[in-house]
Formats: sequence, C-alpha cells, structure tokens
Amino acid sequence: MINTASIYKELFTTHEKLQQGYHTLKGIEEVEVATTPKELVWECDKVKLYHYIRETPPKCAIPVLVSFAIMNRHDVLDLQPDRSLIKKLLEEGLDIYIIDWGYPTRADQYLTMEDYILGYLNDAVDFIRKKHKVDKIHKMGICQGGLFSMIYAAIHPEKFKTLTTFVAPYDFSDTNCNMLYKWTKYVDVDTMVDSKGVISAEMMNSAFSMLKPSMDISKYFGVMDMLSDKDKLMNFLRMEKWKNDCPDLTGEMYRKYIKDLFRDNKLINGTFEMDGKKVDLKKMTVPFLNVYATEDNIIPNESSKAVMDHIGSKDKQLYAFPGGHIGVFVGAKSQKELAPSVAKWVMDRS
Amino acid sequence: METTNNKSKNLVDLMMETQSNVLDKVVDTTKKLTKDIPFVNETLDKGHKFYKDAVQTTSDLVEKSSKSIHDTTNEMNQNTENAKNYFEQWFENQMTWAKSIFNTNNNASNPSFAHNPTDWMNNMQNWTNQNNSYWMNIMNTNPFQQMMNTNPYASLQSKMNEGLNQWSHYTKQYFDLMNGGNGEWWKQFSNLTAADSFKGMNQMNESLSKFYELWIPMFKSIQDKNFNLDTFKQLLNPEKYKEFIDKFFHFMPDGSRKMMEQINQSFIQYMKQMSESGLNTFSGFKSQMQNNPWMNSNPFSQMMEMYTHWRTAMNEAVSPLSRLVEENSSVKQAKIWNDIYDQMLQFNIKNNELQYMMYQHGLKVMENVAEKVATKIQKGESIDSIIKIFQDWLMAGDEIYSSLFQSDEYSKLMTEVSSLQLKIKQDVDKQMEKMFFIHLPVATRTEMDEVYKSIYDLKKMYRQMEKTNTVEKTEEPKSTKKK
Repeated sequence: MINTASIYKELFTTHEKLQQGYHTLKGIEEVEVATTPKELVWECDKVKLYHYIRETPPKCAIPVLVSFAIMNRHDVLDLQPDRSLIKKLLEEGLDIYIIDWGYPTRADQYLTMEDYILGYLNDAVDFIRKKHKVDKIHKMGICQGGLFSMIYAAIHPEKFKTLTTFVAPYDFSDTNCNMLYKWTKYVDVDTMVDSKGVISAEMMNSAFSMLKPSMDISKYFGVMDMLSDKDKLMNFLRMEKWKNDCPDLTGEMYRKYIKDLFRDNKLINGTFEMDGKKVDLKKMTVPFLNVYATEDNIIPNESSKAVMDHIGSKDKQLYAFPGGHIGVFVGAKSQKELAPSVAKWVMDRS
Repeated sequence: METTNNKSKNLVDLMMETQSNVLDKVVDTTKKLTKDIPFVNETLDKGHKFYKDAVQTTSDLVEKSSKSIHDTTNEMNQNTENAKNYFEQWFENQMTWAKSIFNTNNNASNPSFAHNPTDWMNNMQNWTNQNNSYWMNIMNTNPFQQMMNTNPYASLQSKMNEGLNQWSHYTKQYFDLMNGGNGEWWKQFSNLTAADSFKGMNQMNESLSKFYELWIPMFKSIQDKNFNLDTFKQLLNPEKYKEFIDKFFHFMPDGSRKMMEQINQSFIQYMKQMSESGLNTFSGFKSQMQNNPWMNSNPFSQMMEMYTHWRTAMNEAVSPLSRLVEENSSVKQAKIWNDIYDQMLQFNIKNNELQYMMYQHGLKVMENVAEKVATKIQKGESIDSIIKIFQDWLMAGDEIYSSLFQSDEYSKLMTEVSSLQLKIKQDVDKQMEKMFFIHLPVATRTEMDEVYKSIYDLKKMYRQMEKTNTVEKTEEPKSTKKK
C-alpha cells in the first residue's frame, strides 16, 4: 500500500527546508578558501608564483614547487585550515611555492602547451632555483599539473631533486578509457578551438558532470539536512565555491592536449613533441612518487599507473590513496596519512 | 529589455542597444566577482563610460547613413515593381509550397517531435501526396520557359533585398540569445556561492515535485496493490516525463529554440525568393520518398537522407535561375546563408536523434524504478517515501545514463551535434561581421583575434630576445676569465 500521509509530510518538510535554506544562505556573508598566508614573489602575464609564509624555518632546505591543473584553481589544496594538504605539508617542514595559472581570456587564446610548460613553468622553476641558490628543487604536480610536470621533468631532469604527482593522467589508450577519454577521441577539437578561441570552463564542467549525472541534484538532499550545522554548511559552500571557480582553457593548449595526448597518446607512445623536440620519458630519471586515488572516477587508475613502466627513474614508487579524486586533497586521510608520508618521502631525498 | 517600441527601431539601434546591455551585464558580473578589488572596478567604470559614449556616437552616425540606404532601397524596389507584379502570384504559390514543407521540417525542431518521430514521417508522406498535384498545376500554368522569357532577375533582386532587410529582427533575436541574462534574483544574497546553492536546492525541490506529479496517477494502483510494469506504462505520462528529463539534462534552452525557429522562418522567406523549381527533380525526389521504408529502420537516418534528397532537388531546381543572376554580393550572401540553413536543419535532425536516445534511456531508468516499486508491492511492503523513489531514480539514472554516455554511438553523435552547433555559430558570427559590423567603427571579433595574435607573437619574440640577452651577459665574464 501507499502511505500518502508520509509522502505529503515529506514534500512539506522539503519545502520547509527550502525556506530555511533561503534564510540561512541569505545571511552568509563570506565563503573564504585558501587562507594559508602566502606572498606573491614572481609573475609573468597572468601567471603568478606565491611563496607560503612559514612561522618556523623549514626542515627541508630545498624548496618545493607545486602546480595544479590549469583548468581548476589550486585553492582546493588549501580549502580550509582543517582540510588543507598545503598546510599539512608546511607543518611537516616543507618550504612551498605554488603556481597560480590565472584566468585566461580570449586575448590569451594563442598560448600553447609549450608556453605553459617551457615558458611559465620553466621560468618559475628557474626563479626559485636562483632565489635559493640551488641547482635542483622538489616538484609536485596535481592532475593535469602532474602530467605537465612529468613532461617538463623529461626535458629538464637536471632541475628537479624529486617529482611527486597526484592523480595525474598519463596513459590515454582505449583500455584505460572512461567516458571523458572516449569523448575526446571523437570531439571536433579544431572547430571548437577555431570558433571559441578559449574553451569555457562551463563546457568542461558540463562534460565532467555527465560522469555522474545525479550529482548536481542529489548533493542538495545533503545540504538540506545540514542547514542548522553552520560548520558543515560552510564546508559544503567552500567546496562549491572552488568547484564553480574554474578558469577557461586557452584554445591552442587545449588543441594539443586533446590531439596529442588524449587522442594519439603520444607521451606514452614516445612520439610526443614540445617545440619540435621529442619528449623521451626514459630521460625522466628523477626520483618519482606517483600518488593515485583508488576510487578516482575522473582519472582511471591504469592511466596514472602506466607511466611507471615508461620512465627512466630508478627510484620510483606508487602510492595508492584510498579515496576519490578530490579526497586526495581534502579527505581526512589526506591530512593524517598522505601528507606526512609524502613529506617524509621528499625529505628523505633532500 | 525589448519593448513594443523596438519594432520600429532600425537594425543599428537594436544592435547598439543589445551591445550596451551586454556591456552592462558584463560590468555588473565582473564587479560582483571582483568586488574587493577597487582598481578593477575603477577601470571597469571608466571603460564602461568610454564604450557607452562610443556606442552612442556610432549609433548617431549610422542612423544618418542608414536613412540614405533606406531611400535607395525604396527606389530600387520601385524600379522593379512591374517585374515583381508578374511573378507575384507565382511567388505566392511558391511561398505556400515552401512554407508547407518547412513547417513540416520545423516539426523536427519541436521538442514534442522527439517523442514520436514516426508521426513526422507520416505527415511528410501525406504532405507529399497532397502537394504533388498542386505542384503539377503550378508548373503547368507557369511553365519554366515562359518565366525565362521575362525578367526574373529584377524580381529576384527585389526579393533578396527584402530578405536582407528582415535580418534586423533576426539580429535582435540572435544577440538576445547569445547574451541573455537570468534576472536579478541573486541580488538579495550577500554571497554568490550561497545564492548558487540556494538555486541548486530550489532546482532539486522542483525536480522532486515534478517527479511526484509523475507518480500521482500510479498511487491508486499502488494502493490497490495491482501496480506492475504494464500499469506503469499505461499511467506514465510520456510528455511530462520528457519535460522532467529535459529539465534534468537542461536540453536546448529556450533561447536556442527561439533562434532556430527564427532562422527557419527566415528560411521560408528565403525560399520564397529563391525557390525556382524544376518538375523533373521534384518528381525524382517524390519517388525517392515513396520508396523509402520509413518505419523499418532508424527514422533519423531516413529523415536525414530525405532531407538531403530534398535539398539536392531544390539546389538543382534553383541553380538554372541563379546562374542568370550576376554573382554579386547579395547572391553570395544568399548562398552562404543557404548553407547555414542546411547545417541548421542537419543540427535539428541530429539533435533530435540525440534527445530521442536520451528519452529511450530515460524510460529504461523509470522502468527500473517502477520494477522496484512493483516488487515492494508484491512483497506487501508499504511505499512511504517519494524521496526514496526519486533517489532510486537518480541512482538508476547514473548507471543507465553512464553506460549510454560511454557508448560509441552516443559519443559520436554527441560530438557531431556539438560540432554542428559550433560551426553554425561560427558561420553566423562571420556573416554578421561581414554584413553589419564591418561597416561600423568598432573592432570585429576577427580583427580583435588578429590583434591578440600580433600581441602574442610580439611578446614571445621579446621574451626570446630577453632570454638570449641574459644568457649572453652571464656568459661574458666566463669568456673573459678564460682569456
């Protein structure tokens, strides 16, 4: 039988919660993310380099440069004080710099992958080496930022002491396919780039949301139940703020990214080129820590792990993080287990 | 916002007004996003004022010149009046014919069409049968040779001018679409993230309510304990369910739909001017249609094939006459727009195929949920929560839709539709620039892209020189030391 009274009550309660949500959310003034203090130390065009301010001297004299994916903001690494991978790595004694890729506009549409990797990233690396008077620094790259760091490390292994990547895609072959990988095989990237100049974050996000279509609806059931818990609500809002704050991608960079990496899998096949020169992963001889998330629904595990067989590093290690793609930065285990382990691995090689 | 007064405004006014509105919106949004950065806001304010002044000056300037263009066009139309009269009746007939077929085609852009594409096929078949004799009459009373003995150019030219003048309305529609806003509801919130979250909650609530509405007809059979998949199929309102899925996946927004309707209307007008036809090609087309086994295979590929044949027939029919017309800019423009319409029709058909695919899988999702409910009823369990059913729907949806999205069939079609959409926008933008913006004292997007490219190249060159210089400076002392 059907319990109509219970169903009506449910509907009324939902409406009441919506009303409560209106009043609660209306009163929220500020949703702050990335509050760990840092100072701007270098910039070029829209790209900025920040240095996190430490209260105590670092335990490790060799600095670490962190770079995130260009299509997302790095703020998720420092979402809030009790969910901050950066803060935890600082507490463990690392001296950290981070690249802010900025928000490209149509005026930046011609920026290529070479401009990002051999230009901005290279200049930021050299700036830190010069400032600290060291030949080599530690490098950490996240997701697409990990892939770009790997490409750079294969070209300039002499500049890195270690390379750590988190949830980074390397192998784009069919066997490692998820929906996004498959779509890129068919997408008319030339028309997309030629007509739009920059690839909008909105377009990228709508593709990501198709991985789990219900997500944008079902998450609000949870929100309705946390309206009276300010802390939980603020946690949710911080994450929402980060998710909604996505930069567009420059067309030329996107063209090469999709065609050469996603579609032709050139990096793994050994045919990938930067500025006309072949990128040989065997030349990536830097000690390497590869962190992947076992429940990652964006980057298939096989795509991350595959690179281990192609690089030249003798000192290389896989780290399986039990969680999802974003859990690597904001999950409880990220703070308690991952950050200390990574910091130790880096310091052991300083 | 558009008012009735806008109808009397000229194209330039509308374009200027739209640009101005767009700028206001951009400035407002940027201010919101950068509210803590006074420098940005100050720059925006100054830039805003400068741009508004420029727009006003441009508007005044163009109003003066457009008056003389208007007078010239009138004169030209008057000169061709006699020739036009001769063809008036003939064109009216053509228009009726063209309208008829395009109304049929327009059904392809109607969302309800996707529910049952075979209806569209039947309509098309009926239409063909009815109109064949009508067409024969037209051709018999207005033989092609007789038309050629008169002056078709004048009439055609006049009609083309008429068609081009109609673009003002279309332009307004186009910019409204590209720059449409969402109201100002969010202003009552202090924080945009909080406002977005409220919007999300509201949408979730709306989806739940619509889901509940879908299930109301089934409550009685659940109460009577005779709910099963058959009763579910009888009681589910497909139209309402389609609306629900549309909302869930945010299918083609109203603005896009309006744009397509508008373009299709313009197409009818265009056909009124250009549809000179040959009987043989039409007969061939009709025969092709009659031989097609519509119902036995994918209706969308049949539809595409039919459209391609129709278009070939039309092109063959029009081409003898169009060759008589001097290849001037109007004719070139007409040809380009013809290709754009072609892409638009292809987009409509493929987009409907994509949506049809989604509805088919949407039905599978609902069936999956209905099966769960029926199993519960059979076990004698009570249905206490519509939220639970809704959440089951969401979970089943993730599974079923994810497998669809991962399929080659969907991936290919989706990227094809997306590519067509981008091509249409790209081509329309290019033509708008050529037809209108190139004459205005504002930089077009193409010109701006060229500027961006030059700046990019110069910056790159400068950095290269800077780096070379630094390397040389560092190397100099070393070489001195060696000596």
